Amino acid sequence: MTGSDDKRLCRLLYAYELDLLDAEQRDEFEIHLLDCPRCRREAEEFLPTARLLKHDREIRGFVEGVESGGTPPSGRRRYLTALVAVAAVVTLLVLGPWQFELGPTQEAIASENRMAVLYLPGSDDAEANLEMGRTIVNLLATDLSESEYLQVVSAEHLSDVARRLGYGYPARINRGQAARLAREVNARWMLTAGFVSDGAERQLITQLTEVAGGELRASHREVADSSATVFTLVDRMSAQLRGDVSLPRPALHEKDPSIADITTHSVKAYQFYLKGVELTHRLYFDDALEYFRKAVKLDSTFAMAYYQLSVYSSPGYITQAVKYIDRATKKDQLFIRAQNALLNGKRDEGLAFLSTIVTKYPDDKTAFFQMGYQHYLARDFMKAIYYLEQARRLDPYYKRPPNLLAYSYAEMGRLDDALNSLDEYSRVAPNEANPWDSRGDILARYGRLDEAIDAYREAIKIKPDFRPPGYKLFLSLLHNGQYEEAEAWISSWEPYCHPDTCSDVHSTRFQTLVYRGRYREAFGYVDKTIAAEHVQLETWCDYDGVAWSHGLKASLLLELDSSATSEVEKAIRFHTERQPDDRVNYRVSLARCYIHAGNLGRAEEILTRLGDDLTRTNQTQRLYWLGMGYLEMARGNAAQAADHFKRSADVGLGRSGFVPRFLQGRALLEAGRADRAVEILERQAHSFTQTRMAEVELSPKVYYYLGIAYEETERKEEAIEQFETFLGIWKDADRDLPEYIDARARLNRLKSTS
Amino acid sequence: MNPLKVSELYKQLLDGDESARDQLFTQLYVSFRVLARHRLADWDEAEEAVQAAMVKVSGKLDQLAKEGSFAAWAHRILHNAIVDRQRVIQNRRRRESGLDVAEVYLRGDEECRELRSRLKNCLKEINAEFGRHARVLVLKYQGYRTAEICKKMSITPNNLYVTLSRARALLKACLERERKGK
Repeated sequence: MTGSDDKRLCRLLYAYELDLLDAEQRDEFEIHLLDCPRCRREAEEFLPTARLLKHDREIRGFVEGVESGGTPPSGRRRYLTALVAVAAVVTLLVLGPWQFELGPTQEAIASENRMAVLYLPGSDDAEANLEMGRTIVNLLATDLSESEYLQVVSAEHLSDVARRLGYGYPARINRGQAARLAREVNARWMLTAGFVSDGAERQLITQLTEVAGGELRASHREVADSSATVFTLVDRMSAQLRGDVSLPRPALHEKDPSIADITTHSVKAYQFYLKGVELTHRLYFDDALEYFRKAVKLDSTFAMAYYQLSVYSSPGYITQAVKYIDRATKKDQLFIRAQNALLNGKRDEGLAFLSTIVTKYPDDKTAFFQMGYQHYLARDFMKAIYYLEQARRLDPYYKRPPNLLAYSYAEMGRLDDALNSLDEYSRVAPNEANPWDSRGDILARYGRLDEAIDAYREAIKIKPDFRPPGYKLFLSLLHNGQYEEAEAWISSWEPYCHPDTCSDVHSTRFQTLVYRGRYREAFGYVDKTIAAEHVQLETWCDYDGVAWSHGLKASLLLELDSSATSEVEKAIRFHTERQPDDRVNYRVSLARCYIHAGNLGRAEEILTRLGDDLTRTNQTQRLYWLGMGYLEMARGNAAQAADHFKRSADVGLGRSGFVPRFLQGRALLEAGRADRAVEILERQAHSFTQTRMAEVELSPKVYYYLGIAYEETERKEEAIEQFETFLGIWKDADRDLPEYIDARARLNRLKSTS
Repeated sequence: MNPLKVSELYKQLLDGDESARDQLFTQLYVSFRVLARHRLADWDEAEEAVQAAMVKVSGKLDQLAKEGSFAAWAHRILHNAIVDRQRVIQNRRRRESGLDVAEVYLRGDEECRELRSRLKNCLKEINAEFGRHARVLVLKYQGYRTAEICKKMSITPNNLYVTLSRARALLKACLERERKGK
């Protein structure tokens, strides 16, 4: 080798260290390096630096910041920047009630550059290629969305609109259908993408077309061998495309992070995540959770999968989402921050983050929906309806707003509007089970059980494995007095479960018996449920299931005024296995055990600690006031107890208010306020919310106590009717139950004097 | 004294100087390690590749045709060992979390933290007078290949290498200055 050759090769050192040489050059250089002590020494000394430059995320971020014209902000500064943005939005919010003013700059430019990214599969693509193609196109859309100067139509919106047009997207559409779709979503640009893989080589091919004139603006082909990840393909393609769509100069200085860095480095995890998201849009949350769990199993740093788990499974997952927040897109980071604030009781801060999203991404219906949902949770139904309508306006095909609108109207007592919203929901989700499930809920809430049963049956017909309507159908049949149908429905589950572990069947039979006052028989089934849950524990580690079954037995024992301490302690022990930090669940039951044992001081201690724990974890004091109500009842302060139960009911949503309302009615009766008890209990007797129906030991007793309230207010006919209803349900009840004995005595007395 | 080139040591060995054998293996080991560590982010894996290559070189050295390039032959052996390790890493990553092993290592390493801090200062410093360096790095991060980077920056590959060579010299000098400053 000549001296000039050596010199030339030595000059390649840094390019080699940065992996910028092609394979041939690299081999040449490495052979040179073996024989060039000077280059070798240089390379050896520089190894740690080269490694940082190539692999260190922090350095990479720093370089990107330096390159875009300044020192990148530190984590703290970035947070402060976000807060400033939030403050700006809050100011906007103050300007007018719930009005948004969109900034004239990026957002306006972005809306001018609205783009639909569509997947066009080849006619003979194999299923594996189709799935990968869809994944890549989704990644590409996500990557392009990172630009504040581009407004990329969400894949979900495209999918919804395509379905309405009768296209099979994202399965297979042709170019003409793609163009129609792009026009339908008001896109200026249509980006079609195809993906080809033959095992050795992968190709991503795109064509960018201006929708209005149909003019082809650019076409690209990115090729990589099988060792390159799809993320690399997407990054390369996205960088080329940004240059094609006439973005303003500042857009050139926007950061363009690797798509893997802001989603996940695992393709399979991303595919699981997408599937989960799709299922949440169809409101199949249980199914979706499975996919989010699979995603985090494959990539334990997948921030958005944790975020979804925090929304649909357990709030605790938000900690992980926050931990890996840098691995999410800019918009997703705002969602994570919003969720984190909301879960930590910082509602205003959470709403401010959501406001930032709707300002920066005015196309984002999810943020509008979330705002509506937060107002719904806060029982501010007017505002909830406002935001949900905005979300619906943005995307008439978006399924979640009409669903929640229906519940909001139902809470406000506007049944017609609720049913209209459900009609709308059924129109946008014609073949889905959830509109029927929601219809069942709302009709049951208004006491229309026959229609609710039909609705639940319809939901099950569409999606037989959708569990909620199945259980609600059982409860509705039970409360409608259709015991044989309820039993037949339970029996229909039996072929699908192992006799040793069929806890669902045992527990529903238990509930049937409890509802009908056959407590002795019911104990047999609760023991079977507990045994089955213990068997299942070994297979699925379902500690919550075991805890729940012990809790079930405890509630029955307490209702019978028996000692339930052992069962409650077991429930707490198993629940703690699953959630070691939880100091809230089953604490009211524990306090009730001490009340039953006459140890009111200990019960109060437990409740005081519960109150503190609820405050510490930013939860409402619903359970604390419930427990305090029981305590005051035991002390003989019925009026005070009624007040506590009311407070408990007032902080929960309608669907969680049955137990405290029922107890409030009972306490008012004891306090000599029968007139007020009538008001409370009448409302509960005519409404079949899911919570009421699931409280099988209390649910039939509403009629009994309402009967007493009527009797004490001299409304004999109505009292008779209520006692007859109660005794009708308890026709085959254990004869020694005090309510049964008392109801019969009262009924006989009323009948003999009327 | 500067170490001899491996090809010269091999020549001495061929000429019957058995004392060159140990020196050759030492030099080869050091060079292999540098190459493997550049190619494999996980340095434990790099060590595995080096060991595998050294075993092969040792076993086959005497069968090597005398007229061939020793460096090219040794390089091919190391290259194959590295490719084997890359396959292992890829399979493992597929099974596990997909997290870059080097990244995990870099996070917890005290020396890296110190170097990272110096490197940031230097990157900032050289960017003030030599902005192209950061531009190349960013494009590389984005997955562009050399030809594409040159096209985007409207420079020839030779220009790019010269630019990088100069940037490296500045960076190295700055890092040394920073180290002494500490």
